[in-house]
Amino acid sequence: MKKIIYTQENGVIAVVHPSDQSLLEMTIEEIAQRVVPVGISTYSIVEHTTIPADRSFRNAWTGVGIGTAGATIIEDLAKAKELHKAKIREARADKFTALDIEYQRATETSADTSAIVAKKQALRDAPDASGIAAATNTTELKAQWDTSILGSSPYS
Amino acid sequence: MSTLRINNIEAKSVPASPTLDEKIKLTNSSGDVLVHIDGKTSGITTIGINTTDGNIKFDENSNIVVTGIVTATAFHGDGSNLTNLPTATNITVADESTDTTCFPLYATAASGNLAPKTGSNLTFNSSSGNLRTGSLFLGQGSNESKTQDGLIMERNSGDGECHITAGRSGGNYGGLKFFVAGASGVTIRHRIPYNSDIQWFAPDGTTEIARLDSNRNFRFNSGYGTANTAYGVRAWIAFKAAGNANVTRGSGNATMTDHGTGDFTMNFLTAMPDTGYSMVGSAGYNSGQIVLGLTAAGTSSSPTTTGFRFTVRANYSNSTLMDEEYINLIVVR
Repeated sequence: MKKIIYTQENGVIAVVHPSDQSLLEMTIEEIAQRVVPVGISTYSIVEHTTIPADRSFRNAWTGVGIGTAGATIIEDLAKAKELHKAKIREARADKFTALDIEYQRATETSADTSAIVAKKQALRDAPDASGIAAATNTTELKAQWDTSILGSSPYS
Repeated sequence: MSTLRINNIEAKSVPASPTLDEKIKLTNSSGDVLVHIDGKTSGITTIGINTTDGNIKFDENSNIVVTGIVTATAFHGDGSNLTNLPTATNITVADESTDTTCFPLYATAASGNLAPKTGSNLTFNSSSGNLRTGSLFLGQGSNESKTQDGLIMERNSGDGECHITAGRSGGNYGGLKFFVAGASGVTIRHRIPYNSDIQWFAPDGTTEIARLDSNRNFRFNSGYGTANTAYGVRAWIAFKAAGNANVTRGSGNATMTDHGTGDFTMNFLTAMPDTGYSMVGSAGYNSGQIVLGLTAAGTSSSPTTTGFRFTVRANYSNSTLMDEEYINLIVVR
């Protein structure tokens, strides 16, 4: 099935998915003329197999050769790393809240809080893990998820 | 009474007086003429029966002229030179249902002494009962023009399709009504007035069930009390955002643009008449919800006649966009 791809203003690739019925009523070229936004001068019509199946880093998709028949989509690793960090921050938000409560209770009873403090620090440091910066592809990047402090991986 | 038997009687004029006619006259005892044969010198012989007048004449060409009424057991010959014959008002007809190609008779005026005619464009199959003609005009117009008052049915040679026309003359408005006999008598069931509405009526002939009006609205009375406008689904789409976000199903005028995680546009390939349409959508499998007109970046994006942007966000976090398994949208206008 054919798809239409073009690069948006933010640099991320957009993918137009015609409905099955629309392709019976129009050609893919006619659809492209109608749905590609004004101001976007180039687009490509590609097979659906060109579209990555893994959307883990969807907002890092970047087009290569847009405007040609051989256009492809790749993952921008720098953007993917930022997306990965955003997922860590999202995942740790609830855990910070729970640790804050735990810390408060420990303080009220004069209990030892060092373990709690260590956990909170580990959460703070998680986005800056060296493995993230060192990852050379998105597979390595996905592996940079410490389930011991962040919980289950969003990529699993 | 005596009887005279003679082998030959010849009346012959005196050659010295050729102008005299040869005559034979038979009379009864009272002197009344029974037969009077008068051989005229001009070549015409007359015979008078009970008279000396020549009411039967023979000429030299063997023509016979009778003064009076001739009655006979039978006449022979083609009668082609007969004139002033009376017009036949009745003919003998017979029931016949075998000839497959017959030509109904017609005349060129409503009355009078007229020649019977046929037309090759009007045929009758007496075996099947089919009457065939190029067009049928039911009305009182003077011709078959569709601007005449009447109902015209034809197969149009121009487009090859059958036309049923409610013709009207003088620029007046026409219309069609379809009546059906039922429990309430013969009542109107369907109507196409001049403005192109199509109406359906209940068997009572007065309760309007549905109408497709000339403003392209479809109205029906499904418990509304009257036939009210129904607003159809102008576009719909159903897709899985997870995976490669393939559109699995959708209406013919719908496509989807995938801008990023949980960030999509539904496009209308045929533009809406305005932006006053309503969208209803659902996102499921996880806890996503559809938010209309909000981009991934959090900026607003108003619906347009060619589509609208929407995001799928997590119920627990408005800032978290999701690629839900099932996203379904319909647009009503």
